[in-house]
Amino acid sequence: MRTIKRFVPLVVSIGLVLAVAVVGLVQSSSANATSRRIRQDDRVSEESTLGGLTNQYVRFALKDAYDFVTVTPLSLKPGDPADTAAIRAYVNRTALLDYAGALVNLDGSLINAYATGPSVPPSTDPGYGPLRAALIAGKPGVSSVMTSSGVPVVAMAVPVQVRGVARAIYIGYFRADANPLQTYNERLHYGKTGHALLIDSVGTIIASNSRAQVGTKFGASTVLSKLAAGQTGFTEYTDHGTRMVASFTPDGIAGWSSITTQTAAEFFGPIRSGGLHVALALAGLLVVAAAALFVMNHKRQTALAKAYEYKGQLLANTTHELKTPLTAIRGAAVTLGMRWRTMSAEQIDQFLGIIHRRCDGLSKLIERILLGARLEAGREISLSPAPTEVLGSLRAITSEFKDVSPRHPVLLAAPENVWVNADPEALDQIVGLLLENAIKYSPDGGEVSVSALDGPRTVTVSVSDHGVGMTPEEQEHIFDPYFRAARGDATRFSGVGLGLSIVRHLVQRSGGEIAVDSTPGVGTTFRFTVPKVASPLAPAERLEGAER
Amino acid sequence: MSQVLLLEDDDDLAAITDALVTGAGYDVVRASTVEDAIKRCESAIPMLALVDLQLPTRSGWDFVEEATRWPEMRVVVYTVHNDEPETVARAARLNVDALVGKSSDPMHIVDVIRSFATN
Repeated sequence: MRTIKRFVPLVVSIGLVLAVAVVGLVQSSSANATSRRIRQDDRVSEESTLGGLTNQYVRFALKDAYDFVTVTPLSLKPGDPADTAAIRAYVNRTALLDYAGALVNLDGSLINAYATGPSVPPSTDPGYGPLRAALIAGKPGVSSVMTSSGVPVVAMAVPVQVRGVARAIYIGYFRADANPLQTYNERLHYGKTGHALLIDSVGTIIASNSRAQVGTKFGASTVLSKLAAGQTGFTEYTDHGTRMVASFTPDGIAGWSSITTQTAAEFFGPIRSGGLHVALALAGLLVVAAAALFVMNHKRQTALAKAYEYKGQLLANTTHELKTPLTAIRGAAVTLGMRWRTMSAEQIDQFLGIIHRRCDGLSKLIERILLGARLEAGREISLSPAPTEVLGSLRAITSEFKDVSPRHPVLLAAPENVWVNADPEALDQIVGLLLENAIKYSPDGGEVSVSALDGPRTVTVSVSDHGVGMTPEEQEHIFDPYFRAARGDATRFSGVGLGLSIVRHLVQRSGGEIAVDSTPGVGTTFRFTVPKVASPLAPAERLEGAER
Repeated sequence: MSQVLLLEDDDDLAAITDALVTGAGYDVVRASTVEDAIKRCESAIPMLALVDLQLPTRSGWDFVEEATRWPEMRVVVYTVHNDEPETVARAARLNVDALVGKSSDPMHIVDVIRSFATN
């Protein structure tokens, strides 16, 4: 009996250990299932956005063609040079990269045409099927992908009406491998094995990030049959022995659909390895494993969610910020390349200056993105705090901003001979970023003031503007990375959304605090503190410094 | 000489576009705000307006809406936001004559202007 009693604590311990382990396992497996579902849902929602985009592009193209035939006076006489010129002007003018246009009679016979690219497919091409069906129903139509001179081609058609009666058809052709949708899809990459596809009503690939696929048939019949039934969704299938996942959505127009594919191993990889962790951990020390597993899973899910969010925000915000300087650099280089012989020395200097300045700006932006990423990843940045004189530092940085914008006079008020313990570069960066922000969000101009207030233990530095201001809700998130207050039109203010997040990190790592005070339509004041130190100057030097 | 109104607040981009369009034989009038662009059109209606969207006080869309006052003037939106669904949809809704990406080949904009001039 005594022997049995001696084992009771052990048995209870093992029981507890097992219970904890089971809880850990259940938590882990439920977290895995949730994570799997979130990924699938995310992919389907991305897919719907892609579908919407295609829909709008196609609608825009059709509307544009419709406007052309409605607005342009066309004689519809066979071979009329005025009609040819009108078609040529239309084909060349849009951003939709049309390469050919043709006017045909209702029976399909040619009236007039203009082409800049490969020949157009003959009217017997079965690809015209969906287009014909739409036209018979009295609607504008889009063809399947047709191959002409080895080039994948798509045709769009709208009826040409004369006094409300359809007299002819205008057909616009564009290269399926060189249209804006193709360019867009080429930018989409899902891991190493992912593809973003746009397919037509019979399953031919119109656009893909792998250009070689354009014009070929999409293989997964399960996906095609679900699309034919108008379904949006996510499915797993096997392609040549490889397990694949696909998310898909019909684009709601012309029978086109968007599909993204990826190997299942890559798509689920990090999640499925969770099971392996569990098995290994259980085989080892149960208590530690169960607890560790729970923590590990939680951390992984959080990290995964954060990484996804981070990636999305980073892409969205930085793309435009990078595009503008690149456009200027490219434009200046092209202009110089074409016209340097006829340009004056001043003009050449001006364009070289643009390239130089914009490259500097680009490097600065990339450095800021990297710094933001390092800070967000929790990596230490090395600051070298040293006694720094406040007025001198602020004077140096504000003077850099004096010429940035003539509409934003920068005022400075700070006491003399007040010293703080701060990294001078970090202090420069903090005030510089706050000034940049103040100018950017004061689109109508106005004074920007920088002031320092001497306190017992800290010095408080303020940067104020009379700009657009922020609502209390916006102020709550203003220091979050990639948050850009939604002040009016989204295309109004540029920016990556990292400046204030970097400012907060730098202030905190310098031992201070930061706060914001803002009223919409009135302006914003950012205040931050820096630890104060005694003046390192001897009294005599101080006197001398003060006299200077 | 056909006049092209260039509504662009980025001095560098304005200088580049100005040089390319002037080099192609057009007379370029620059404006950096919507208000300025409206004043220019009120004094002489250009053949075509090249409109950037991201401007300091009012968005370029405000000018596009205002431009219906001058139906003979072609309106081309010239922006880095050209591939965003909202931009495409709004351009279609406001009947702009063309939506051209700034990051495409810089000479493309000259081709677009030429095609309108010959039309």
